[in-house]
Amino acid sequence: MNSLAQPILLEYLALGAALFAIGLVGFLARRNLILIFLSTELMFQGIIINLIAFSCYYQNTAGQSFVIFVLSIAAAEAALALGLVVLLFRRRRTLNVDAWSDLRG
Amino acid sequence: MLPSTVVSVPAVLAVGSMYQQWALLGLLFLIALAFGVGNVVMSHMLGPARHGQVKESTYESGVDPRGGTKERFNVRFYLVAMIFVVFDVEVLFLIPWLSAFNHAGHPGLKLGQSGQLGPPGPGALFVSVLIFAGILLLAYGYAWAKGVFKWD
Amino acid sequence: MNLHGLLPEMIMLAAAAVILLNGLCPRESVRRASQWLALAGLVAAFVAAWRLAAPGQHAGWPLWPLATFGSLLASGVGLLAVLASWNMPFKDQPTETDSAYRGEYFALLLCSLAGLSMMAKVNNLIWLFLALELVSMPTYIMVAAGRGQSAAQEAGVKYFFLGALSAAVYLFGFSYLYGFAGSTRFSTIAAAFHSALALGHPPAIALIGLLMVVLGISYKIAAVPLHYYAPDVYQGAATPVTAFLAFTPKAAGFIALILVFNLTGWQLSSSLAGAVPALLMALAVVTMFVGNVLALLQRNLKRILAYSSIAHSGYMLAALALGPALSPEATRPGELGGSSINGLSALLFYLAAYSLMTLGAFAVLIYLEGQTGAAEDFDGIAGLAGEHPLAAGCMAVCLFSLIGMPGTVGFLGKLFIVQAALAAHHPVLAVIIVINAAIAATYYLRIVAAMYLRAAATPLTVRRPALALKLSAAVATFLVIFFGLFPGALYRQSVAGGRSVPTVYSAAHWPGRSAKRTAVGMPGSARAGLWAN
Repeated sequence: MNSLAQPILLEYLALGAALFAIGLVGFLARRNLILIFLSTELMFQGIIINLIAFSCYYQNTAGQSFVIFVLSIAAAEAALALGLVVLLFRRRRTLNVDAWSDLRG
Repeated sequence: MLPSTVVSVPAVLAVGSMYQQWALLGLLFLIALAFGVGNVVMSHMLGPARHGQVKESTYESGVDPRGGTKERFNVRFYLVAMIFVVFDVEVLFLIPWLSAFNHAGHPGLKLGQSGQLGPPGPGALFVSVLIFAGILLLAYGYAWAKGVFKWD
Repeated sequence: MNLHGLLPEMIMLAAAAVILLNGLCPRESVRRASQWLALAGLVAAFVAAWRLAAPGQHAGWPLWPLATFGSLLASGVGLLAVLASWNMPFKDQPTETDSAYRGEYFALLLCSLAGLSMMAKVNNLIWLFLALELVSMPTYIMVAAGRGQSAAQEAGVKYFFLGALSAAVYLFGFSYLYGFAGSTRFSTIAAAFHSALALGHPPAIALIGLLMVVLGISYKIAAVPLHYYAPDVYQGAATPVTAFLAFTPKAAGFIALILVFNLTGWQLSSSLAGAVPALLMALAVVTMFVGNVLALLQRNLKRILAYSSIAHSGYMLAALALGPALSPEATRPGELGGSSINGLSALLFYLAAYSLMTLGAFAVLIYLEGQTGAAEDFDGIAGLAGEHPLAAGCMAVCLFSLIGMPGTVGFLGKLFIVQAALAAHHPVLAVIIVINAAIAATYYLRIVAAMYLRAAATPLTVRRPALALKLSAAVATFLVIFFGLFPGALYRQSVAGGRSVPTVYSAAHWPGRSAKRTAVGMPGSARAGLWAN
């Protein structure tokens, strides 16, 4: 760990946590399915920043390889989310989550 | 603190705490902002201003646009776009593979002998990337056979 | 571990690829082979897992018994799940099959099972993440596309979006665990925890990471902070998918939690870190009560089974919270009864038991749906005993097992958890489990009463159900009774799996790529009470 990285690490972690928190708030507050999905993507970006920051801090590549896997899983999830959204839109002509609350106990 | 090789900066910025690096960044940002804003303002003030039907069309000497920009796209665009994104990201895996290739062990297949995985040789690495590409090709063939790329 | 150790997963994934291509064939008669291919693949995977479970295999891999337990569970219960979803995916009504997507359905099912099978074989946070997502992603699609109804799509979208959120939460935890140890290798993280705990308490970053991982994975097991989705998703999904959901993500989540706590060496008993097992215990108790009490209020059978699934997660979380602490006198391995079972062995046994009995109950529901179109509430099963005595019998046995009646595997599962609680000096927990079993008996017996005591509201039409459906219900019921009376094989596997767990990765054996992983187990007496304080 070099001396340059250490003070920077905290800033990057704060950035990652902030992105994660913004995504979390967006997930809970938004009503549009696409925006909700974008919020989860934002959370993933926060995680990626964490991983890269630690990877630079420890000078090893484990975090960077982790990031590649996170990215590819996130891409797969994006494809899946878009498929679902198209499916739902064809049925109800709206993307508001409140239109989908038929299942209740 | 600062390695001497980083950049040659004014002495007032190079000494002191780490945070003065951010001051440098802020200065750069201000310069960029001033450059951009200055150019816009200057061209607005100095350039000749003409108005008219042709001048204000979207593409001055191009094709006339028809319809609004907020029109709904065919869903097939998204299907192809998503498949592109997935394959695009999968290609990312070739980069670590490539950098591992530089550190390949002895030539010859060394997959799974006596419970130990030594550093894989170039042959093993090549076989592994072939398997990877084969799986990708399988997914591509599947999408093709499902008619995702058919555009009728 | 060499590639040979991953043979069951490779067989499953290869079978999934073959099924996917087979499903593309334009001829219906060829596509009909999908289920048979899935069965063949799972049988081959089970045989491979069985051979790998033989003693002496992969002795250098400390968690090998747990890994083979996961593989056997995935391929064994997966066989029953394939039988139960023989007519999947449904078009609109459960009585008609959408055969155009048959290949996709069974390929996804096999992928998910492969993820579960791989779960305990991982030794790296990256692999753990991939295994968890391999389990989850196919299930999202199975829920949304399992039947063409609007309810299924609503369930799918809820399940997927909350699933993505939970993945982000545990992944954030993973990133902090990596930041804490500087490596994604389990052995390095465990060594970092070991030295941090030896100094006092681990730094906040490790505890935050641990808590977020537990929170995120609690979605997969439908435990209390993230259990809201379960009733809606279970109700909206096609019933075979519901049966699959009740088993696969739950088993995967519990195995993942075992692996994550194994990183801490099960020694979180210092002041701040001690909050983690205490929190787990509290979550377990709350989960039990929430599941059981809310199940009392339901009319829909699938919702009842969903809340029952939450409650059973509570029992299993309690077993997890007890951890591997063995009482000092328990040293004779393999002996039935006594207090020779630790919390994790009890958890693994309960996991297998729960999978069998819940799959049996759902299989009967699927069978009835094939008869009537939908048998989702009490009226739908009223008078079942008169018209379909065998189906009613299977259902009754599975429900009795879910209650925990003696003679069934569910009884032994609860017994082992209570024994482990008593052995770890947690009599209050044992009492709470027994109280919950009594509450749960109310709603299970209500179903039994509707089947046996009420007259049928509408005569059940008789269609010709697939033999496979009958077979899955019958085999699950048979196994519930068989393992209830002769638990030997299942017991040995789960005790071996549970015993293998308290692994303290030694810092001195930092495994390189070719170095053997070495486990330094602590003697049983020293281990008691360290985790469960």
